[in-house]
Amino acid sequence: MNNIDALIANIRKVFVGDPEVVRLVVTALLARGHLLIEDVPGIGKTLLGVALARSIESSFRRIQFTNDLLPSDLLGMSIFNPRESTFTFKPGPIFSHIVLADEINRTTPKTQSALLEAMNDLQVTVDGGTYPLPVPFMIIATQNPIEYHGTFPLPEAQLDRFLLRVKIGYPSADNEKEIIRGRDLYQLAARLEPVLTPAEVNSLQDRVDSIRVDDALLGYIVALASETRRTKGIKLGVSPRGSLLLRRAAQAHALTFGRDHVLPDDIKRIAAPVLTHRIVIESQSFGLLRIHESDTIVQGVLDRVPIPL
Amino acid sequence: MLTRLGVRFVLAAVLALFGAATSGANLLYLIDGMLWSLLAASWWWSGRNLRGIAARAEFPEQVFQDTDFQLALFLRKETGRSAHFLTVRSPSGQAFLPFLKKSREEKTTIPARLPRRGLNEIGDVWLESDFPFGLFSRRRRISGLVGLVFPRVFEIYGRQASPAVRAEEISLPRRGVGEDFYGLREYGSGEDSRLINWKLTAKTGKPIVKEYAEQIGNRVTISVDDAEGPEAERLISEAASLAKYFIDAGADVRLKTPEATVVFGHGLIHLGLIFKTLALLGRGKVVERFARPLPKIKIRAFPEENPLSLFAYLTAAIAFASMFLIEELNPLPLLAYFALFPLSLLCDRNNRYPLPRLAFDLTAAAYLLFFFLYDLPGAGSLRAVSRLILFILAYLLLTPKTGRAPGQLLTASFLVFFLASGQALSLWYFPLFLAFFLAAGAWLIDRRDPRPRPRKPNWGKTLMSVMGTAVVLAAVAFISLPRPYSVRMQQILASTGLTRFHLSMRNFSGLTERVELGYLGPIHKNTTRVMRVTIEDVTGDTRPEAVHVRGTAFDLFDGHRWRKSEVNFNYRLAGREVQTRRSLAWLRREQGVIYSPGHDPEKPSRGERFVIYPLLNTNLVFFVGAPAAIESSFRSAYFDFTDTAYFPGAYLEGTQYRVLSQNRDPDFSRAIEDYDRILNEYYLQLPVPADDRIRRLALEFAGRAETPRARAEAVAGRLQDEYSYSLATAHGRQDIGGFLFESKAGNCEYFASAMCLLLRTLEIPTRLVVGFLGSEWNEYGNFFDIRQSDSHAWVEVYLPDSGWTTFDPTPPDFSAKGPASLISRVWTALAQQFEALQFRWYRHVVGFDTYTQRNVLYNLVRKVSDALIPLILGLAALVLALFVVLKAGSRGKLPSWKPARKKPDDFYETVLNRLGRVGFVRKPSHTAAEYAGNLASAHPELSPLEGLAARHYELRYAGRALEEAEQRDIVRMSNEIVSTARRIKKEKT
Repeated sequence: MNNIDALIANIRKVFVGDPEVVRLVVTALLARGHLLIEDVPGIGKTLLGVALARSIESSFRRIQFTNDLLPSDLLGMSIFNPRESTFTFKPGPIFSHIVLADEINRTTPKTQSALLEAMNDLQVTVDGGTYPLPVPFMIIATQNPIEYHGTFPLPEAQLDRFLLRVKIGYPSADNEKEIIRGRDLYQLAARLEPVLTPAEVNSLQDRVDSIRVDDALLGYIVALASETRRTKGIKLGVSPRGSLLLRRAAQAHALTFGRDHVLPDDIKRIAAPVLTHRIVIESQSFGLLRIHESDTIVQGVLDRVPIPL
Repeated sequence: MLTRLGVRFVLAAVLALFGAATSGANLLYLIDGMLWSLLAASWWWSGRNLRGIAARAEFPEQVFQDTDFQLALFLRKETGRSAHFLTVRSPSGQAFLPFLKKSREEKTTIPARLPRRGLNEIGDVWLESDFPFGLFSRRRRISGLVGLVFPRVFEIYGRQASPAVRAEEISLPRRGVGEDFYGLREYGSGEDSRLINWKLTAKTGKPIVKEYAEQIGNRVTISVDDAEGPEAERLISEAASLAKYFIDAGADVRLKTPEATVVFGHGLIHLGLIFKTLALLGRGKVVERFARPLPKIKIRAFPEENPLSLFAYLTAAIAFASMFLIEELNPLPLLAYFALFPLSLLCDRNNRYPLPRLAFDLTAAAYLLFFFLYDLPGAGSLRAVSRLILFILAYLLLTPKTGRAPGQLLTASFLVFFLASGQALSLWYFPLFLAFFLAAGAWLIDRRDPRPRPRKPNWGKTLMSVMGTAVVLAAVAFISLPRPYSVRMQQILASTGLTRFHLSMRNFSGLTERVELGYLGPIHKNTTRVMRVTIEDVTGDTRPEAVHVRGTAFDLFDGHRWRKSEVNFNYRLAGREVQTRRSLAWLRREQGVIYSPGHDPEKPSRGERFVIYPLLNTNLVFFVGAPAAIESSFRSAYFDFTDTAYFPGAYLEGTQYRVLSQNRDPDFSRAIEDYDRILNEYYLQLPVPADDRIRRLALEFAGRAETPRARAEAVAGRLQDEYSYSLATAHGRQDIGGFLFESKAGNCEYFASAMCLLLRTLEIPTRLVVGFLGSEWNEYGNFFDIRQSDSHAWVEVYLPDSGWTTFDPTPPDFSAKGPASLISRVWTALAQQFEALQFRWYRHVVGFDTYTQRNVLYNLVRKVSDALIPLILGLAALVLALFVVLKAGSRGKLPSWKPARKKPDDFYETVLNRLGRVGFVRKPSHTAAEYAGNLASAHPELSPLEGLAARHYELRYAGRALEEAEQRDIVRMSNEIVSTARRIKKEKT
């Protein structure tokens, strides 16, 4: 499994932040999931996407979401070709391996749901034609949690489509120094050597399902989920789909270490990124504070549920 | 609390106790013991059923004042076994939960309603159960049901002004020119062309208009000024209603109260927040408990709609089958009765009956007339009542069932079984007894299970446990229930007619003064106690194995029957010559003692005390040795030439007397004049015509023996060795020839008769004696218990040197003689086992009485004191020694007792447990690696633990196996880690 290690190392050449974030990104990729980064601007979200795409020899697009972005701006549209008197489908920016949907909460619910449909079905339907998305396909969406005005926050049901919600956080002092050293990190990222082909990524994704999960660990996942349904302060607990995805994410996380079996540590590490955006908390707060609160509550759940040895 | 069925049960138990106490029938004691035990077991189990149930309530999201709502209760049985048949009851309704599996949560809902705003505790929800048998209904209040009740909300029409409300402006959100994006739509003709968004139009090819939402000022503030005063409730209710009205209208609503403020917001969640705030205002914060009394509900043992289960028929059929055990009843008509059960089942399943209801009722009325006018006066109460109960059972089985039928059927079945218990003796009663209570118990449990059939009942195990408990208790109750058996009780019994419960003695073994071969046929054992015999100066150690208690003797045998000849003789009594009158020699009491002619004051004598129980309807004087003198309340006695003594009247109510007995040497009979002539004339009589085969057999048996004693011993020995004892039918109907030459098996009368005949053909005077062979020693009272089943016949032989001498030719136990096939041997062995079992049943259950009871208790106490006291002392010494050793070993610190730990799954858990004991406790939420990592970062010496954790992971989750070397390695590592950890702890302290 050297290639996964190589992938992580490759990304880290340009992304100087928390290595755990890189692992989570790779986890989401392997689990065929999508990533939601909810953090302040300017901490390397795009850089991460570019580095990942280059490393797996894939196409990368960045779409800045605005409130006048239409679904067709995203998916593409059929254009009349007068010479042949036919409509030709002109694919939109979503037809890339890695798509960075920047500030997804800026656009209208209509466009949001067009994106989310594409995420779920891995295909796009425009004007009666169905067009498959490239494989591997992964959306890295970002939400800006501070600016709240004039936004359309993703509803809870839509948030459920993202496998992981990741916070990048500010870099440490040393890392920040490294960032501002003067190299153009974007240039570096664009020139990164690929370490995996899309086909290899696809075969790795296929392997995730065969990662062994012990019965006790399934029990632990269920215990976590039912604890979220019981916990005070949570209005809506994790759905069975949530626990199913937690299992899958744990398998992928185990695979990033090259293991063929899931450990309790995998689940515990991955639980917060998988679960925090799947619960609805009773608090009236919003924005970063709300995210922080749900983090705290999920951490409390993790602290309460006994873990199998 | 007793249910109606419970009351019936208690009544039945009291009835059974009365029946048992008055009749002394032990099987009634048995069912009485069982009834009380079932009551006790039922009480205990019903408590256990309710114990350890944790209840958690979930109120609906919104509960409004004075409005019905469904309260969701989550019940969970935490300790003990799974619970059955739980009813959650409140004054507004109830819910039934048939089964609550242990440590699984079940949800049930009941209607509820709360009269007050704010925090309320519902105090009138009860958990109730009448499990297992519906004899007791026990309940427990469910506490801690606290929920928040929103204020009353009423409908508001129009914009009413209220002092509680200050509405600023109300409008609905609508399209307009604002900043917030509202939506996109196509351009309509006639609209201002400035509205067209050209960028979008270029993209789509259609004219598109982009719309913005109008900035609106739809803000309402509702304020409640007074949350404590008399008007507060009305204000709060109005505020809630208004909030609902405005939120419904889409406005942003703010709530201001003296205690809290809810900022502007809209939507239902916001409304909920407002309601919550209003509910908690003022007095709403104080939890108040509401409890209405539960309305009294008569708990029916059988729900109306519940059809009879199969157990009902089974119970009735078992009760009915017990009637066959009553030996006096003719089984044939009873057999015909059995067709009722399948018929009834068929009728009930199809809901079609052979006759209309009216015809049944007319039959019942006719039977009642017959019962009172003819049967009761004619056949006596017992027979008539038995028939009546059987009729009721049949009537109940065949008529259409109403809601009350199950209870009635149960009662009728019990009465039938009760009837049989009073009269049956057979060992087969016991399995029927168990089956009856098991079936009835299963029925009583099954009745409440409303789940659709077929299903596997999940109360089977519980039923077995309850029954097991009840049977054990019943055994204790049976042994310890007092047996107030006295003459007075007999008299009460006679006056109520219940004496009929006693069995007629015909066909049962017992003392009879009519010895006729083939007369009795098969003999049933009857263990009624008839007397007890105390031989003075004899204790447990010096007692003989068995005593022959002599009753009467016969001299004349006609081939079938033994009789006494009429013999008149003269005898000397106190120096006077006396003549017999009608062949009876009378003796008078002088100074309290009746002396016999053979009494010799010079010779040593031995006292024998007899206590005769009322059942023995005779006037014979029983004794063991030769009766030299009798001390009794009778003024006189008489004897005949067979040395049989009588009191002048039968002692119906029992009696006590003491016999002074002396050795029966020839001198004892010398008081009778001309005794040798009588001896030769009467004691050598043979039946005519003489049977030559008997003479040859006698000579063969005698062999080379010369003296009369040797010959008698030889004959008795041969009979004992070559003939077998049997109470079977075939062996009870033969004659003496058949016994001697063909079957070679028979009862004691055959043996004794045969020996008499054989010896008489050898010119040795003999006579047949009837009495009891007592072998049951009562340790507690130092006496022999004599029962009817001990009655026996044996032989007295006149030997010139020692006078009348007792010989018993009957073999001690019946056993198959000669070669037998395997099957017959097995069969014989089985028969013997059954016989032995039956004997125990008669002796220990049917024949259990006060003396046996005391004997049992006496033996128990003695055994306990013999065995238990040393045991207790030994254990105490052991514990003390252990204490001392531990104390010395731990330098004054005793190890504290800890609850038993779960056995560790593998080495890592073992290490963790050990480290935990040292003081490094793992948090339950820490994984193995986290724990190891944390420990290693705090104490780098402990970092090998991380390697161990990795090994553990491989073993546990990767499915790798450990090699032996590795295993040793791990053990070594774990020990090192633990000792390092100990050292670290020690250094720290």
